Amino acid sequence: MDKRIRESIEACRPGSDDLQSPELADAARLVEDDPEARLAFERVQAWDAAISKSLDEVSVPPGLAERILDRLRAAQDESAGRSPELLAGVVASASRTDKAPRDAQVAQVAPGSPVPNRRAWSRRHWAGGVSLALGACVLVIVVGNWLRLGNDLPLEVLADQWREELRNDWQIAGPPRDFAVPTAILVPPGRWQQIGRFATVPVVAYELVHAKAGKAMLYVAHMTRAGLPAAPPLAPQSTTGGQAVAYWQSGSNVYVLVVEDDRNYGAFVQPSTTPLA
Amino acid sequence: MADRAAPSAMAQLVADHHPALYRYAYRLSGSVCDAEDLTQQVFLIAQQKLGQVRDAECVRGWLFTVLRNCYLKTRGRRLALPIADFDVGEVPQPVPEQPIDNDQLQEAVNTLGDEFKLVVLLFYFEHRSYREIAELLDIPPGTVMSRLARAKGHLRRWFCEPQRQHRANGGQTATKDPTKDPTSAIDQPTAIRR
Repeated sequence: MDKRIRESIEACRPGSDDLQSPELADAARLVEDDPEARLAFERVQAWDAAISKSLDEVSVPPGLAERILDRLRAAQDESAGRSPELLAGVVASASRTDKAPRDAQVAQVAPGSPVPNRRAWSRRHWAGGVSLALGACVLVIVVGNWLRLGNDLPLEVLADQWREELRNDWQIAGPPRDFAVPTAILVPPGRWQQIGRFATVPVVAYELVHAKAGKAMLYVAHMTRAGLPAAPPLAPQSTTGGQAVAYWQSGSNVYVLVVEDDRNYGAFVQPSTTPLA
Repeated sequence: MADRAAPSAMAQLVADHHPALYRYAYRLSGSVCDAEDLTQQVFLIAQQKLGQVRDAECVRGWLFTVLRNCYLKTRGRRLALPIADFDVGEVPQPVPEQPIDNDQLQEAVNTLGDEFKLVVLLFYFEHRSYREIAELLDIPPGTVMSRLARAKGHLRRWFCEPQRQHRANGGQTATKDPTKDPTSAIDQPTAIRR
Protein backbone atom coordinates (compact mmCIF):
# COMPACT_ATOMS: atom_id res chain seq x y z
CA MET A 1 0.00 0.00 0.00
CA ASP A 2 1.78 3.15 -1.14
CA LYS A 3 1.46 6.59 0.33
CA ARG A 4 -0.96 7.86 -2.30
CA ILE A 5 -3.38 5.00 -1.63
CA ARG A 6 -3.12 5.49 2.09
CA GLU A 7 -3.78 9.22 1.79
CA SER A 8 -6.80 8.46 -0.40
CA ILE A 9 -8.16 6.14 2.27
CA GLU A 10 -7.63 8.82 4.89
CA ALA A 11 -9.47 11.36 2.71
CA CYS A 12 -12.74 9.40 2.76
CA ARG A 13 -15.28 10.83 5.15
CA PRO A 14 -16.79 8.32 7.59
CA GLY A 15 -19.94 6.69 6.25
CA SER A 16 -19.67 8.47 2.91
CA ASP A 17 -19.30 7.12 -0.60
CA ASP A 18 -16.16 9.19 -1.18
CA LEU A 19 -14.26 6.05 -2.11
CA GLN A 20 -16.46 5.68 -5.19
CA SER A 21 -15.32 8.99 -6.66
CA PRO A 22 -13.25 8.61 -9.85
CA GLU A 23 -10.20 10.34 -8.32
CA LEU A 24 -9.97 7.63 -5.68
CA ALA A 25 -10.54 4.71 -8.05
CA ASP A 26 -7.08 3.22 -7.39
CA ALA A 27 -7.72 3.19 -3.67
CA ALA A 28 -11.20 1.71 -4.16
CA ARG A 29 -9.76 -1.13 -6.22
CA LEU A 30 -7.13 -1.89 -3.62
CA VAL A 31 -9.64 -1.81 -0.77
CA GLU A 32 -11.71 -4.27 -2.77
CA ASP A 33 -8.85 -6.65 -3.57
CA ASP A 34 -6.29 -6.33 -0.81
CA PRO A 35 -7.21 -7.51 2.72
CA GLU A 36 -4.62 -5.23 4.33
CA ALA A 37 -5.99 -2.18 2.51
CA ARG A 38 -9.52 -3.19 3.44
CA LEU A 39 -8.55 -3.53 7.09
CA ALA A 40 -6.83 -0.13 7.00
CA PHE A 41 -9.90 1.44 5.41
CA GLU A 42 -12.24 -0.11 7.98
CA ARG A 43 -10.10 0.97 10.90
CA VAL A 44 -9.63 4.48 9.59
CA GLN A 45 -13.39 4.76 9.12
CA ALA A 46 -14.01 3.48 12.63
CA TRP A 47 -11.52 5.96 14.10
CA ASP A 48 -13.04 8.78 12.08
CA ALA A 49 -16.55 7.99 13.28
CA ALA A 50 -15.39 7.86 16.91
CA ILE A 51 -13.34 11.07 16.70
CA SER A 52 -16.05 12.91 14.79
CA LYS A 53 -18.62 11.96 17.43
CA SER A 54 -16.34 12.94 20.26
CA LEU A 55 -15.42 16.29 18.69
CA ASP A 56 -19.08 17.18 18.64
CA GLU A 57 -19.47 16.54 22.35
CA VAL A 58 -18.84 19.99 23.73
CA SER A 59 -21.28 21.45 26.21
CA VAL A 60 -22.40 24.95 25.36
CA PRO A 61 -22.17 27.41 28.30
CA PRO A 62 -25.61 28.21 29.71
CA GLY A 63 -26.94 31.60 28.70
CA LEU A 64 -24.60 31.97 25.73
CA ALA A 65 -27.39 32.85 23.30
CA GLU A 66 -28.64 35.61 25.60
CA ARG A 67 -25.16 37.04 26.00
CA ILE A 68 -24.69 37.05 22.24
CA LEU A 69 -28.00 38.83 21.72
CA ASP A 70 -27.12 41.37 24.44
CA ARG A 71 -23.87 42.11 22.71
CA LEU A 72 -25.56 42.42 19.33
CA ARG A 73 -28.08 44.88 20.74
CA ALA A 74 -25.31 46.86 22.39
CA ALA A 75 -23.32 46.96 19.18
CA GLN A 76 -26.35 48.24 17.29
CA ASP A 77 -26.86 50.94 19.88
CA GLU A 78 -23.19 51.82 19.71
CA SER A 79 -23.27 52.28 15.97
CA ALA A 80 -26.42 54.38 16.28
CA GLY A 81 -24.67 56.65 18.80
CA ARG A 82 -27.17 55.97 21.54
CA SER A 83 -26.99 54.81 25.14
CA PRO A 84 -23.48 55.58 26.43
CA GLU A 85 -24.16 53.22 29.33
CA LEU A 86 -24.57 50.31 26.98
CA LEU A 87 -21.53 51.44 25.04
CA ALA A 88 -19.49 51.24 28.21
CA GLY A 89 -20.82 47.77 28.75
CA VAL A 90 -19.75 46.74 25.28
CA VAL A 91 -16.26 48.11 25.79
CA ALA A 92 -15.96 46.26 29.05
CA SER A 93 -17.30 43.11 27.49
CA ALA A 94 -15.07 43.32 24.42
CA SER A 95 -11.92 43.86 26.47
CA ARG A 96 -12.64 40.93 28.74
CA THR A 97 -9.67 38.62 28.99
CA ASP A 98 -10.13 37.10 32.41
CA LYS A 99 -12.03 33.98 33.24
CA ALA A 100 -14.53 35.59 35.56
CA PRO A 101 -17.86 33.88 36.00
CA ARG A 102 -20.26 34.46 33.16
CA ASP A 103 -22.85 36.08 35.38
CA ALA A 104 -20.39 38.81 36.27
CA GLN A 105 -19.75 39.45 32.60
CA VAL A 106 -23.42 39.75 31.89
CA ALA A 107 -23.69 42.27 34.72
CA GLN A 108 -21.02 44.38 33.00
CA VAL A 109 -23.21 44.75 29.95
CA ALA A 110 -26.31 45.65 31.88
CA PRO A 111 -27.70 49.16 31.50
CA GLY A 112 -26.64 51.49 34.25
CA SER A 113 -23.00 50.42 34.33
CA PRO A 114 -20.70 53.30 35.22
CA VAL A 115 -19.20 55.18 32.29
CA PRO A 116 -15.42 55.56 32.50
CA ASN A 117 -14.50 59.21 33.16
CA ARG A 118 -12.08 61.21 31.00
CA ARG A 119 -9.23 60.91 33.48
CA ALA A 120 -9.45 57.13 33.46
CA TRP A 121 -9.45 57.11 29.71
CA SER A 122 -6.40 59.37 29.67
CA ARG A 123 -4.48 56.99 31.94
CA ARG A 124 -5.56 54.17 29.72
CA HIS A 125 -4.23 55.97 26.68
CA TRP A 126 -0.86 56.49 28.38
CA ALA A 127 -0.72 52.83 29.28
CA GLY A 128 -1.69 51.97 25.72
CA GLY A 129 1.15 54.10 24.34
CA VAL A 130 3.73 52.46 26.57
CA SER A 131 2.36 49.01 25.68
CA LEU A 132 2.56 49.91 22.00
CA ALA A 133 6.21 50.94 22.30
CA LEU A 134 7.05 47.75 24.20
CA GLY A 135 5.11 45.76 21.63
CA ALA A 136 7.12 47.35 18.83
CA CYS A 137 10.38 46.31 20.52
CA VAL A 138 9.12 42.75 20.95
CA LEU A 139 8.00 42.73 17.33
CA VAL A 140 11.47 43.70 16.13
CA ILE A 141 12.97 40.83 18.13
CA VAL A 142 10.35 38.35 16.98
CA VAL A 143 10.70 39.35 13.33
CA GLY A 144 14.47 39.10 13.63
CA ASN A 145 14.15 35.62 15.07
CA TRP A 146 11.65 34.66 12.44
CA LEU A 147 13.93 35.73 9.64
CA ARG A 148 16.72 33.69 11.12
CA LEU A 149 14.40 30.70 11.66
CA GLY A 150 12.93 31.06 8.20
CA ASN A 151 16.35 30.70 6.68
CA ASP A 152 16.85 27.46 8.60
CA LEU A 153 13.57 25.88 7.54
CA PRO A 154 13.51 23.09 4.96
CA LEU A 155 12.78 24.38 1.48
CA GLU A 156 9.52 22.40 1.32
CA VAL A 157 8.29 24.34 4.36
CA LEU A 158 9.55 27.64 2.97
CA ALA A 159 7.75 26.95 -0.30
CA ASP A 160 4.60 26.34 1.69
CA GLN A 161 5.05 29.70 3.41
CA TRP A 162 5.74 31.48 0.15
CA ARG A 163 2.61 30.00 -1.38
CA GLU A 164 0.58 31.39 1.50
CA GLU A 165 2.08 34.82 0.91
CA LEU A 166 0.83 34.92 -2.68
CA ARG A 167 -1.69 37.66 -3.30
CA ASN A 168 -3.88 38.57 -6.20
CA ASP A 169 -1.16 40.90 -7.39
CA TRP A 170 0.29 39.20 -10.44
CA GLN A 171 2.48 40.88 -13.02
CA ILE A 172 2.62 39.85 -16.65
CA ALA A 173 5.52 41.79 -18.12
CA GLY A 174 9.03 42.62 -17.04
CA PRO A 175 10.12 39.85 -14.68
CA PRO A 176 12.97 41.08 -12.48
CA ARG A 177 16.40 40.67 -14.04
CA ASP A 178 18.05 39.03 -11.02
CA PHE A 179 15.35 36.39 -10.77
CA ALA A 180 15.49 34.96 -14.27
CA VAL A 181 13.73 31.70 -15.00
CA PRO A 182 16.36 29.02 -15.69
CA THR A 183 16.51 27.46 -19.12
CA ALA A 184 15.80 24.06 -17.59
CA ILE A 185 12.21 25.13 -16.96
CA LEU A 186 10.24 23.83 -19.93
CA VAL A 187 7.02 25.80 -19.42
CA PRO A 188 7.21 29.56 -19.92
CA PRO A 189 5.84 31.41 -16.91
CA GLY A 190 2.46 33.04 -17.40
CA ARG A 191 2.75 35.58 -14.61
CA TRP A 192 4.86 36.43 -11.60
CA GLN A 193 4.87 38.33 -8.34
CA GLN A 194 7.37 39.32 -5.72
CA ILE A 195 6.81 37.95 -2.25
CA GLY A 196 8.60 38.20 1.05
CA ARG A 197 9.06 41.94 0.59
CA PHE A 198 9.67 42.48 4.28
CA ALA A 199 12.03 39.54 4.63
CA THR A 200 15.76 39.55 4.10
CA VAL A 201 15.29 36.93 1.42
CA PRO A 202 13.59 38.40 -1.62
CA VAL A 203 11.61 35.84 -3.56
CA VAL A 204 9.87 35.90 -6.91
CA ALA A 205 7.12 33.40 -7.63
CA TYR A 206 6.36 32.36 -11.18
CA GLU A 207 3.18 30.55 -12.12
CA LEU A 208 3.69 27.86 -14.71
CA VAL A 209 0.65 26.43 -16.45
CA HIS A 210 0.93 23.42 -18.72
CA ALA A 211 -2.03 22.56 -20.97
CA LYS A 212 -1.98 18.89 -19.98
CA ALA A 213 0.23 18.67 -16.90
CA GLY A 214 -1.58 21.26 -14.79
CA LYS A 215 0.05 23.89 -12.64
CA ALA A 216 3.37 24.45 -10.95
CA MET A 217 5.04 27.28 -9.07
CA LEU A 218 8.67 28.23 -9.40
CA TYR A 219 10.12 30.22 -6.54
CA VAL A 220 13.40 32.02 -7.11
CA ALA A 221 14.97 33.17 -3.87
CA HIS A 222 18.13 35.22 -3.40
CA MET A 223 19.76 32.97 -0.86
CA THR A 224 22.43 30.35 -0.46
CA ARG A 225 21.90 26.86 0.88
CA ALA A 226 24.74 24.39 1.29
CA GLY A 227 24.35 20.91 -0.12
CA LEU A 228 21.87 21.65 -2.87
CA PRO A 229 22.36 20.23 -6.36
CA ALA A 230 23.54 22.69 -9.00
CA ALA A 231 20.76 21.71 -11.40
CA PRO A 232 17.22 20.35 -11.24
CA PRO A 233 17.39 16.81 -9.86
CA LEU A 234 16.25 13.84 -11.92
CA ALA A 235 13.55 13.14 -9.33
CA PRO A 236 12.00 15.72 -6.97
CA GLN A 237 13.35 15.72 -3.42
CA SER A 238 9.83 15.47 -1.99
CA THR A 239 6.52 14.05 -3.24
CA THR A 240 4.45 14.40 -0.11
CA GLY A 241 0.74 14.73 -0.73
CA GLY A 242 1.13 13.95 -4.43
CA GLN A 243 2.94 17.26 -4.84
CA ALA A 244 6.49 17.32 -6.21
CA VAL A 245 9.00 19.71 -4.68
CA ALA A 246 12.44 20.02 -6.25
CA TYR A 247 15.16 22.52 -5.45
CA TRP A 248 18.61 23.44 -6.59
CA GLN A 249 21.14 26.25 -6.23
CA SER A 250 22.50 28.22 -9.12
CA GLY A 251 24.65 31.28 -8.54
CA SER A 252 23.15 33.38 -5.79
CA ASN A 253 19.65 31.97 -6.29
CA VAL A 254 17.87 28.97 -4.86
CA TYR A 255 15.19 27.61 -7.19
CA VAL A 256 12.23 25.73 -5.71
CA LEU A 257 9.85 24.09 -8.14
CA VAL A 258 6.51 22.89 -6.77
CA VAL A 259 4.47 20.77 -9.19
CA GLU A 260 0.89 20.16 -8.10
CA ASP A 261 0.84 16.62 -9.45
CA ASP A 262 4.11 14.82 -8.85
CA ARG A 263 3.54 12.56 -11.86
CA ASN A 264 3.96 15.59 -14.11
CA TYR A 265 7.31 16.71 -12.75
CA GLY A 266 9.07 15.91 -16.03
CA ALA A 267 6.70 18.12 -18.00
CA PHE A 268 7.94 21.23 -16.21
CA VAL A 269 11.65 20.77 -15.91
CA GLN A 270 14.51 19.29 -17.84
CA PRO A 271 16.89 17.72 -15.32
CA SER A 272 20.45 18.57 -16.21
CA THR A 273 23.92 17.95 -14.89
CA THR A 274 25.28 21.24 -16.18
CA PRO A 275 24.95 24.45 -14.19
CA LEU A 276 21.94 26.55 -15.04
CA ALA A 277 21.98 29.86 -16.82
CA MET B 1 -26.34 49.56 6.47
CA ALA B 2 -28.40 47.85 3.83
CA ASP B 3 -26.68 44.62 4.70
CA ARG B 4 -27.61 44.81 8.36
CA ALA B 5 -29.75 41.88 9.48
CA ALA B 6 -33.08 42.49 11.20
CA PRO B 7 -33.13 41.82 14.97
CA SER B 8 -35.65 39.01 14.73
CA ALA B 9 -33.64 37.34 11.98
CA MET B 10 -30.54 37.66 14.12
CA ALA B 11 -32.29 36.13 17.12
CA GLN B 12 -33.30 33.19 14.98
CA LEU B 13 -29.83 32.90 13.55
CA VAL B 14 -28.28 32.88 17.01
CA ALA B 15 -30.77 30.28 18.22
CA ASP B 16 -30.11 28.03 15.23
CA HIS B 17 -26.36 28.22 14.97
CA HIS B 18 -24.72 29.28 18.20
CA PRO B 19 -24.27 25.76 19.63
CA ALA B 20 -22.48 24.44 16.55
CA LEU B 21 -20.39 27.57 16.19
CA TYR B 22 -19.41 27.51 19.84
CA ARG B 23 -18.36 23.86 19.60
CA TYR B 24 -16.31 24.56 16.52
CA ALA B 25 -14.75 27.63 18.15
CA TYR B 26 -13.89 25.60 21.21
CA ARG B 27 -12.22 22.90 19.18
CA LEU B 28 -10.25 25.50 17.26
CA SER B 29 -9.16 27.63 20.18
CA GLY B 30 -9.09 25.04 22.95
CA SER B 31 -10.40 27.63 25.40
CA VAL B 32 -13.88 28.26 26.78
CA CYS B 33 -13.36 32.04 26.94
CA ASP B 34 -11.84 32.32 23.49
CA ALA B 35 -14.58 30.13 22.07
CA GLU B 36 -17.26 32.40 23.48
CA ASP B 37 -15.49 35.51 22.22
CA LEU B 38 -15.11 34.00 18.77
CA THR B 39 -18.76 33.00 18.67
CA GLN B 40 -19.81 36.51 19.62
CA GLN B 41 -17.52 38.02 17.00
CA VAL B 42 -19.07 35.83 14.33
CA PHE B 43 -22.56 37.06 15.12
CA LEU B 44 -21.39 40.67 15.29
CA ILE B 45 -20.03 40.29 11.77
CA ALA B 46 -23.17 38.46 10.70
CA GLN B 47 -25.26 41.35 11.99
CA GLN B 48 -23.38 43.69 9.67
CA LYS B 49 -22.93 41.51 6.63
CA LEU B 50 -25.45 38.72 6.60
CA GLY B 51 -27.29 40.46 3.78
CA GLN B 52 -24.41 39.53 1.53
CA VAL B 53 -25.38 35.88 1.76
CA ARG B 54 -27.87 35.29 -1.00
CA ASP B 55 -28.67 31.62 -0.46
CA ALA B 56 -30.18 30.78 2.93
CA GLU B 57 -28.78 27.27 2.71
CA CYS B 58 -25.27 28.71 2.62
CA VAL B 59 -25.62 30.56 5.91
CA ARG B 60 -24.16 27.81 8.05
CA GLY B 61 -21.11 27.46 5.83
CA TRP B 62 -20.71 31.23 5.70
CA LEU B 63 -20.82 31.49 9.50
CA PHE B 64 -18.22 28.73 9.83
CA THR B 65 -15.99 30.53 7.34
CA VAL B 66 -16.31 33.77 9.29
CA LEU B 67 -15.43 31.88 12.45
CA ARG B 68 -12.35 30.35 10.84
CA ASN B 69 -11.20 33.76 9.65
CA CYS B 70 -11.80 35.35 13.04
CA TYR B 71 -9.81 32.58 14.67
CA LEU B 72 -6.89 33.02 12.29
CA LYS B 73 -6.92 36.78 12.83
CA THR B 74 -6.85 36.51 16.59
CA ARG B 75 -4.28 33.78 16.44
CA GLY B 76 -1.82 35.21 13.95
CA ARG B 77 -0.03 32.94 11.55
CA ARG B 78 1.36 29.85 13.13
CA LEU B 79 3.42 27.36 11.28
CA ALA B 80 4.16 23.87 12.39
CA LEU B 81 7.74 22.84 12.67
CA PRO B 82 8.90 20.36 10.04
CA ILE B 83 7.07 17.12 10.59
CA ALA B 84 8.06 13.57 9.96
CA ASP B 85 6.47 11.81 7.07
CA PHE B 86 3.83 9.36 8.12
CA ASP B 87 4.35 5.66 7.87
CA VAL B 88 2.19 4.21 5.12
CA GLY B 89 3.12 0.63 5.74
CA GLU B 90 1.09 -0.01 8.84
CA VAL B 91 -2.59 -0.51 9.44
CA PRO B 92 -4.02 1.71 12.20
CA GLN B 93 -4.69 0.07 15.53
CA PRO B 94 -8.33 -0.70 16.34
CA VAL B 95 -10.41 1.95 18.06
CA PRO B 96 -10.19 1.51 21.84
CA GLU B 97 -13.24 -0.07 23.41
CA GLN B 98 -13.76 2.72 25.92
CA PRO B 99 -15.14 6.00 24.54
CA ILE B 100 -12.64 8.61 23.44
CA ASP B 101 -11.89 11.00 26.27
CA ASN B 102 -13.02 14.46 25.29
CA ASP B 103 -10.30 16.36 27.15
CA GLN B 104 -7.59 14.12 25.76
CA LEU B 105 -8.95 14.69 22.29
CA GLN B 106 -8.81 18.45 22.79
CA GLU B 107 -5.24 18.16 24.06
CA ALA B 108 -4.35 16.29 20.91
CA VAL B 109 -6.08 18.88 18.70
CA ASN B 110 -4.26 21.67 20.54
CA THR B 111 -0.92 20.19 19.56
CA LEU B 112 -1.69 20.50 15.85
CA GLY B 113 -0.40 23.47 13.90
CA ASP B 114 -3.16 25.61 12.42
CA GLU B 115 -2.67 24.32 8.90
CA PHE B 116 -3.38 20.80 10.18
CA LYS B 117 -6.06 21.80 12.64
CA LEU B 118 -8.11 23.68 10.05
CA VAL B 119 -8.01 20.80 7.62
CA VAL B 120 -8.89 18.16 10.17
CA LEU B 121 -11.74 20.18 11.69
CA LEU B 122 -13.18 20.95 8.27
CA PHE B 123 -13.14 17.22 7.68
CA TYR B 124 -14.55 16.09 11.01
CA PHE B 125 -16.65 19.07 12.01
CA GLU B 126 -18.01 20.45 8.80
CA HIS B 127 -17.91 17.05 7.06
CA ARG B 128 -16.24 18.58 4.03
CA SER B 129 -14.64 16.45 1.34
CA TYR B 130 -10.96 16.89 0.65
CA ARG B 131 -11.83 18.67 -2.61
CA GLU B 132 -14.07 21.15 -0.79
CA ILE B 133 -11.39 21.71 1.83
CA ALA B 134 -8.87 22.43 -0.91
CA GLU B 135 -11.20 25.02 -2.44
CA LEU B 136 -12.04 26.62 0.89
CA LEU B 137 -8.43 26.95 1.99
CA ASP B 138 -7.10 27.57 -1.51
CA ILE B 139 -4.52 24.83 -1.35
CA PRO B 140 -3.93 21.89 -3.70
CA PRO B 141 -6.04 18.76 -3.05
CA GLY B 142 -2.86 16.71 -2.66
CA THR B 143 -1.74 18.96 0.18
CA VAL B 144 -5.12 18.51 1.87
CA MET B 145 -4.84 14.73 1.60
CA SER B 146 -1.36 14.76 3.01
CA ARG B 147 -2.24 17.06 5.90
CA LEU B 148 -5.39 15.08 6.66
CA ALA B 149 -3.51 11.79 6.77
CA ARG B 150 -0.81 13.15 9.01
CA ALA B 151 -3.12 15.03 11.36
CA LYS B 152 -5.51 12.11 11.70
CA GLY B 153 -2.64 9.78 12.34
CA HIS B 154 -1.40 12.14 15.03
CA LEU B 155 -4.80 12.16 16.74
CA ARG B 156 -5.05 8.38 16.64
CA ARG B 157 -1.58 7.98 17.98
CA TRP B 158 -2.42 10.27 20.86
CA PHE B 159 -4.77 7.58 22.14
CA CYS B 160 -2.47 4.70 21.37
CA GLU B 161 0.63 6.08 23.07
CA PRO B 162 0.16 6.99 26.72
CA GLN B 163 3.82 8.02 26.89
CA ARG B 164 3.21 10.74 24.35
CA GLN B 165 0.43 12.30 26.41
CA HIS B 166 2.64 12.13 29.47
CA ARG B 167 5.40 13.99 27.67
CA ALA B 168 2.98 16.63 26.42
CA ASN B 169 1.70 17.12 29.94
CA GLY B 170 5.15 17.98 31.22
CA GLY B 171 6.20 14.52 32.26
CA GLN B 172 9.37 12.61 31.59
CA THR B 173 10.74 12.07 28.14
CA ALA B 174 8.89 9.43 26.20
CA THR B 175 10.80 6.36 25.23
CA LYS B 176 8.61 5.20 22.39
CA ASP B 177 10.31 5.03 19.03
CA PRO B 178 8.36 7.34 16.70
CA THR B 179 9.37 5.32 13.66
CA LYS B 180 7.24 2.47 15.00
CA ASP B 181 4.15 4.58 14.98
CA PRO B 182 1.20 2.42 14.04
CA THR B 183 -0.82 5.18 12.50
CA SER B 184 1.16 8.23 11.50
CA ALA B 185 3.39 10.84 12.96
CA ILE B 186 3.62 14.49 13.74
CA ASP B 187 6.80 14.59 15.68
CA GLN B 188 6.79 18.20 16.74
CA PRO B 189 3.58 19.07 18.50
CA THR B 190 4.64 22.63 19.16
CA ALA B 191 4.33 25.39 16.62
CA ILE B 192 6.40 28.45 15.95
CA ARG B 193 4.88 31.87 15.60
CA ARG B 194 5.90 33.98 12.66
